[in-house]
Amino acid sequence: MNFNRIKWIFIVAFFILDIGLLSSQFLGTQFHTSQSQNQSQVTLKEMKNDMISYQPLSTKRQSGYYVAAQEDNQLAKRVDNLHGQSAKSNDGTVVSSFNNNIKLNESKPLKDQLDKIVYNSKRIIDGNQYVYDQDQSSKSQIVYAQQMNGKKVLDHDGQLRIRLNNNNEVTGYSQSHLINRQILRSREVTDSQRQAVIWLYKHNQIPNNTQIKKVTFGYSKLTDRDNQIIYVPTWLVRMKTKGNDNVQTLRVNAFTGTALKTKTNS
Amino acid sequence: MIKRIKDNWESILLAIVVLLSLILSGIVWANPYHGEHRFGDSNVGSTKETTTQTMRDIYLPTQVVKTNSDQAQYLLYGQKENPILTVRQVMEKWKFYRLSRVETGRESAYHNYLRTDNSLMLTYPDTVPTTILNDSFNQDLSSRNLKKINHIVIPLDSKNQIFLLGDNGYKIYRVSVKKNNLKRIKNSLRGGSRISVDHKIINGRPIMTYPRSIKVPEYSYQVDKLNVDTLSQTLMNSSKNSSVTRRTEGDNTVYQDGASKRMTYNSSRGTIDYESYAGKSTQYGYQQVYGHLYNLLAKTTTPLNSLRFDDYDSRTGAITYRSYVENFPIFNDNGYGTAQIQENNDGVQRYQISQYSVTVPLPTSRRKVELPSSAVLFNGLRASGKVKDMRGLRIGYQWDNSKTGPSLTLKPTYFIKYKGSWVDYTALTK
Repeated sequence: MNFNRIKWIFIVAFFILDIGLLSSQFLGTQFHTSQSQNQSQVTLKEMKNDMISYQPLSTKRQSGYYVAAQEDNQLAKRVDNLHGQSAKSNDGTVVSSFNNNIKLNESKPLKDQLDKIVYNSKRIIDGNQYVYDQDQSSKSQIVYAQQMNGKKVLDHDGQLRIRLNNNNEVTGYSQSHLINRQILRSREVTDSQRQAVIWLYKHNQIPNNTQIKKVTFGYSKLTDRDNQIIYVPTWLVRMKTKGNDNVQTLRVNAFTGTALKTKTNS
Repeated sequence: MIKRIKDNWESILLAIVVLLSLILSGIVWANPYHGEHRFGDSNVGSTKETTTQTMRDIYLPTQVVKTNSDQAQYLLYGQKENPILTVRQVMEKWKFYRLSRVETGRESAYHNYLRTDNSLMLTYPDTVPTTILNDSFNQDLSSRNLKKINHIVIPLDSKNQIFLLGDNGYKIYRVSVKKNNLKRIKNSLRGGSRISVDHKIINGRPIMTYPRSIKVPEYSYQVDKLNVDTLSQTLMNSSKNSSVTRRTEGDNTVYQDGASKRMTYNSSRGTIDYESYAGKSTQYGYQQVYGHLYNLLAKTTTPLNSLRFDDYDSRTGAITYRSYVENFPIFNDNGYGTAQIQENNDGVQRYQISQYSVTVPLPTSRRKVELPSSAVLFNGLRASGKVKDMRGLRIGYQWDNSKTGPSLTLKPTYFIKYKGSWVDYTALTK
C-alpha cells in the first residue's frame, strides 16, 4: 500500500466519523428533553396545521412565589393631597379626572412623558410603585402596574390606568393599590412559555385561525381569603382571530399549568 | 504559497477532518447527557402531563443543613430563594469530572463528614440511586462504586470538590468539580428561619437530633380534591375490546376492566387503590426502578406539584411520594397528600393515591408550636422501651383525618420511624 492510498482511507474514515458525530449532536443527547421536545414539536406542528400562528415560544422555566396582598382601602383618604384633579373613591379604587387635560407630544416617547405625571406625588399617590406596562396598554388607556418580585401584576388590582382622549391628551386615571405583600412559600419553578401555550391548545382553548400575539409572565389573582388576595405566577396569553381586531386573553397558572378563570376583562 | 497548498491539499484535507473529529468528540464528551435508555424505559413521558413537575423536581433532597466553621449546625427552612432549588439550578451547570473514594466502613469518619465545618449539606429523605442524582443535577457519575446516596456535602470555602455520602456502609466519596461558583448558593441561604441541630449515629443510622427545644410554625393550606371519575378514565384506559364496569358497595366504588385492571375508590378515606395485572414481567435494577416508577406516576396524571420522593421500600418495590410543606413532610393515617407506586417483578402494578392534596398556601398568623429537645424525646422512648426500634426522627406536619376542606391548618410535631411507619412521638413516649 502506498502512502497516498492510506491517506485517502484515513480521509474517508474521519469524514464518516465527522458526519456521525455531527448528526448525534443534532439528534439531541438529553434524555428527557428529547422525549418531551419531540412531543412538543408534534403539538406545535398540529397548531400550525390549525392555522394558529405564534412568535417563537421559550422553553425556559421561570420561577416564582405564592404571594398574598391586600387592597389599600385607605387610598381614598389620601386624595386630598393631590392637585389639579377631582378624585373620588369607588370601592377601594380611586377614579380621578384632571381639571386640565395634559397634552402629550407625539414626537416624544410616550413613557417618558407619562412617567413625569405618574412619579409626581402631587398628581398620583405612590406612583413610584408602578411601572409602565406597554403590553397591557391600548391607545385610550395606558397601564402602569405594581410589581411582585420584579414581575408585573396582570390584573386591575394593583394597576394604574391612565385615560387618553382622541386628541392625545391625558384626561384622568383610575388607580388601585396593593399593600402588605407577603410571600407565602419559598421560590419554586414554573411552566415555560411554550408549556403554557401547549396546555391551552390541548384543552381546546385556542380556536383555529388564531394569532397568538404575546405571552407575558407576571402575577395574577388565584383566589382570595379573609380580606387577602392570593397571587400566583401566571402566563398571560393575548390572541386574536385572524382578520379580526378583537383581542382575547387567557391566563395559565404557571405553577400548575392549568387555565385560570378570570372574572375581569382586560 | 498557493502552489504549496495545491501540492499538499490531500494532507491538509486529512488534517482538517481529523481536527474536526477531535473537536466534535470534545463537544460530545463535555455534554454529559447521553444514554437514551438510562432508566430502561423505551417509551417515557406522558402525553397527558398536566403538571409542571418533572422527574428532576420530585427526586430532590428535602433537608438543607448549614454547618459553621465551629461545627455548629443549623437546619434551614423558609428561605425565600429556596436553597435546595438554587443548588439544583447552580449545580447542573457544574462539571463533575472525577468520583473517588475517600473512605468507607468507618462510623466515626462518616460522622465527621456529616458535620463538615463550613459546609452546606443536602439530605434526601431516603437513599437514592446515583442515576437519580445524575438526572437531577445534569451529571454523569458512574454508579459502579457508589450506588446509593443519602447526602450531598458542599464545602463553602470553594475547594473545587463536593462529597457524596451513602449511609449504607458509611461510604464517603469525593467529586472533583470544575466551575463551581458558590455565590448564588450562599445568597440563597439568607433570610428564613433556622433550627439548631446535630447529627448522631443511633442504631447504626445517622439521625439528625435537636439539642434544644424548638419553635416551629403552623401552616395553612387550601385543600384540593381530585376528580375521581377523571382519574378512573385515565387509569382504566382500556383497549377497544373491553368495557369497564362500575359498582358501589357502601363507601367503596369499584371499577373493573375484565380480569386485568381494577380501581377501588373509598370515599370515607379518600383513597384510590388501583391494581393492574396487564404489565410485562420485567426486572428493574435499583438504578432504574426510581425512574420507572416515576413514569408510572406521571401517567396517572395525578397533580405532582406538592409531591416529593419520600421513601423506597425494597421489600415491596414501592415508592411513596409525599406532600411537603417548606421542606417538612406531611403525615396522615389515610395517606392524604401521598401517592404510592409499586410494581413487582411479575409486572403487577399497585397504586394507592390520595384524593386530597395541598397546593395553595394561605396567609395565617404562623403561630409557633414548641417541641422539646430530642434528649427529652429519647428519654421518653427509653422509658417506654421503644428506643431500640427507632429508625428515624424528623420534624413533620400532622394532617388530621377530619380536615378535608376547603382549608386546613397543619401542626408540626416530631415523627419517629418506628417499626416501618412514621409515628407521632407523643404516641410513643407516654
